[in-house]
Amino acid sequence: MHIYEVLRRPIITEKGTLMAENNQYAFEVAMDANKVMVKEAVEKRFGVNVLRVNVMRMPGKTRRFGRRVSTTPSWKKAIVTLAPGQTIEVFEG
Amino acid sequence: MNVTQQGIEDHQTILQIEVEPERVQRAMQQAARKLSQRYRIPGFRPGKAPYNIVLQMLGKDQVFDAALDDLGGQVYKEAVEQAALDPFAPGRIEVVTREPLTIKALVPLKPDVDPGDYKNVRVVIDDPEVTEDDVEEIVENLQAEQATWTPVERPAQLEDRVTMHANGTVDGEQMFHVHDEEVWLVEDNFKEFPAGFLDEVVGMSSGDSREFDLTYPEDAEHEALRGKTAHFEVEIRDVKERELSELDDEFAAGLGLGGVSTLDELRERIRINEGVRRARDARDQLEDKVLTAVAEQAVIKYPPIMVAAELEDEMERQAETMQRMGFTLENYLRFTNMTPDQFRAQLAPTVERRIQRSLLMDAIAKREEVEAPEGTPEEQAANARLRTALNWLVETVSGKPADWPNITALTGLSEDEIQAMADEGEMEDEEEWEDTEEWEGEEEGEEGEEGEDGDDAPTAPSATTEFKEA
Repeated sequence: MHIYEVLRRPIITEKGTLMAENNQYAFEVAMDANKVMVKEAVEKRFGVNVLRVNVMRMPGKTRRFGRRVSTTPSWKKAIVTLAPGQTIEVFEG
Repeated sequence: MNVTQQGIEDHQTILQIEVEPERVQRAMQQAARKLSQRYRIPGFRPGKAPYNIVLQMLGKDQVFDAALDDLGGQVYKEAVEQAALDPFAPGRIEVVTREPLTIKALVPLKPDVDPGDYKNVRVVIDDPEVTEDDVEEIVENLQAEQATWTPVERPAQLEDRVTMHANGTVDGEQMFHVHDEEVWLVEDNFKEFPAGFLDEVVGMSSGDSREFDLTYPEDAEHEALRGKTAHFEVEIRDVKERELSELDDEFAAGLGLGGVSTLDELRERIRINEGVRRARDARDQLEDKVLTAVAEQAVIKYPPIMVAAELEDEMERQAETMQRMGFTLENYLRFTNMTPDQFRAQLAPTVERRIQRSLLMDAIAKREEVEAPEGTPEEQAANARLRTALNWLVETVSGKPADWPNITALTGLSEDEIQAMADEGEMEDEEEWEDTEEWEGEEEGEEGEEGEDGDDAPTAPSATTEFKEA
């Protein structure tokens, strides 16, 4: 799988901004990507050293359309810890 | 902060202000915080987005502009202080370069008035009077106005009325057309026609028609017609002669003026009306003369923005007046074929004169330590003060007291009696005696309207000529 398929988007939120202080950055990643693939992708894409990757499945939320109840798709989130002193540009603005 | 002042022109100056980058940075950060309150940035609660994210989401320009809104005002204020200027109104700020931030500010300065040697200006004016001849003239005008017109079979003479059907062509093109209109044969009604037109019409009887060629003079009113020869076809449908009624008591009573039933009473009424009118005119004239004379030797400096602001107010006032009269400014402009700017240019001299005069009177009032009379309501105090100062100035310069011209001597009636007559609606003019001059100033909520002169001179049916646009 190509790295652009692994990393879907950076997650830029208030919480993410706080995590950046611990050198951690969050991404939405492909459902079938694993930690190793995320590490490789981030290192290649941003030219940084990744110390650790945590991944988790984010379950979809239920949405109601009138009487019909459906769910938004589940997705996978990866939290990447970088080596001290390194940053990822897109998160810093 | 580095401020340089560039020359004074038109009583306004330009300040070139350089602002330190650190200060700009600080202002931008503040602005970003404010912006993030206002705009929803996904992933962040309002006001919580960090500077970098706001910059990324909204763009640097928007943040910069927002920063400038606050920073510009602050910097401007400090710069004005630093340059020790005394501005009259908020200046106009213009960004020259963004990095480093350089601002050009146009600062209008406070008006500066040197009233000059106003105490030694002299103006003379004659006392107004109403002579027997004046009264007779007005009576005769009334008589002419009341005249009846009877059809006659003789050829038309000057002063007759004719019903005319006429066509005028220049180079085969129709230039004007009069369609069965009643026209009074007096010179004044034929100013737009080439000389000789009236002579041709005189002598024609009812039912006559005539064709003739006439050349427009080189100074004709309509440019397109100058020097052109026009071919006229005129047909007279009927001729009417004026029949004046006898000047007697019956005539006087027939005018329908309340309280007038004899010719002598009519004369008396005219004498009073005319006296009041002339007294007012004379007062206006005197004040105008005094102000003109004093303004001429005074030095009055003010920034153009003052005129511009007052001009806008005046435009609004004009629009309001027109609205009250039942039409709009837009319609008026279309009718007179003027652009708003042309209209503004037309108002400008009046507005400018008003500003000059009120600045001048303000300066004189200050120098003479004039105060509004005791007990003046606060909102009228500013005007009352200028009015008092003007009365003082008029008396100094012309030797005429504030109650000149003496209306009682002129009409034999006291002010109260005249007021009473006006209240009964027997006088043609209901304008307040005091409101002769308009003062500019924000204090004033209401402006006296320009009195439309309800002139009672015999009205002539004008030869309506429809000139085509060349």
